[in-house]
Amino acid sequence: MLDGDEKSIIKSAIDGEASAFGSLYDKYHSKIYRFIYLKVSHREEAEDLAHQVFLNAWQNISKYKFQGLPFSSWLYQIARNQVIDHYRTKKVTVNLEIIEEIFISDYSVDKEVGSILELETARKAILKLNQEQQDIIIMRFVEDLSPKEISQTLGKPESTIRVLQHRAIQNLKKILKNEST
Amino acid sequence: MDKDITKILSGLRHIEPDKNYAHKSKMIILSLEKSEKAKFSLAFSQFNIKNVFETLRFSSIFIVTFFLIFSILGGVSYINKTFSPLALEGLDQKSLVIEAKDINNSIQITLEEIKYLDQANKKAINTISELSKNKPIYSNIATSSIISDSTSTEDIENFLITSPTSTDESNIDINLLLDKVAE
Repeated sequence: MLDGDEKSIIKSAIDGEASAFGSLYDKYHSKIYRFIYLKVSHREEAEDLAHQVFLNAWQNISKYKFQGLPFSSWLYQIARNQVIDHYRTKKVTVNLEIIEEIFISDYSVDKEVGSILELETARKAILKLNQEQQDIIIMRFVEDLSPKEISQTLGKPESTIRVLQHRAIQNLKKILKNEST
Repeated sequence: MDKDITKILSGLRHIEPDKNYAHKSKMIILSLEKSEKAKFSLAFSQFNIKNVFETLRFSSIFIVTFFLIFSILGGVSYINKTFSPLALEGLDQKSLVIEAKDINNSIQITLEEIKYLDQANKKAINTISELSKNKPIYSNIATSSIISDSTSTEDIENFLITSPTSTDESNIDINLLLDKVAE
């Protein structure tokens, strides 16, 4: 749900106030970038797509309606569509061999090499899931969204989200198990 | 195992975009104008001179287009009326009315002439009858001589044989009578 402050900021942004949209950008850009980065194989692609998402959001912010849907969910919807279009139009396929490289700079905190390897393994495993399971894993376990928020974003019942979440975790476990052996 | 996976996945939360990229991207997006639709809604909320000129430009284009269409349609109608092979003179209502008025006027004049002549004729007949009642006219002495009580049939025959100019004289008398009537 939107708190009062965010609602007024969104209203200002709809009225064309650039600084208001700047505030929304600061709040949500990292989340959206992360969501995209975990779904595509390259940092540059993630940057381009995240930029495009916020550009579209700014140009179409008048279409956003206060109907109980959080602003973040609206942004996630744009991001999902952007990634789908990216794969559809450019016929991009994820080459897992290329993802072997580890971008330590991608992580905001200094981590031990061991944990970074774990994170990279998890990232590769996520990329092997289908789009829907990727969305649920990222939203639920990376971004810590509630099943209700995920159901609002994906437009599916909460019960369905729980089932899909369970299936996604099982698949991820299998992938990680296969990777370790 | 589940806990380990969720812990690892939550570790991915530390992935952050490059700060320079994020700043540049934000500046680029905010420097761009909003969509045309948003601009249109703003045009109504923010009244200024630029909006007035925009509106005037639109209305002037509309007016010019209207006049162009009007003149084209007028031209087509004029050409159709003037040069069309189907436009016969006899079918023109105005010329038909004028022609009918001319004919009516000429009939009026003819009727008046007939009326005048009829009146003149009646006057002439009245005058002749009056003259004949008041004073019998005799063409000449010869004529008067035969219209006496003592005139016999033989005398009349002799008169007719011996007066070769009787017809001419009676014509002269008639002419005199007509002159009087005319006067």
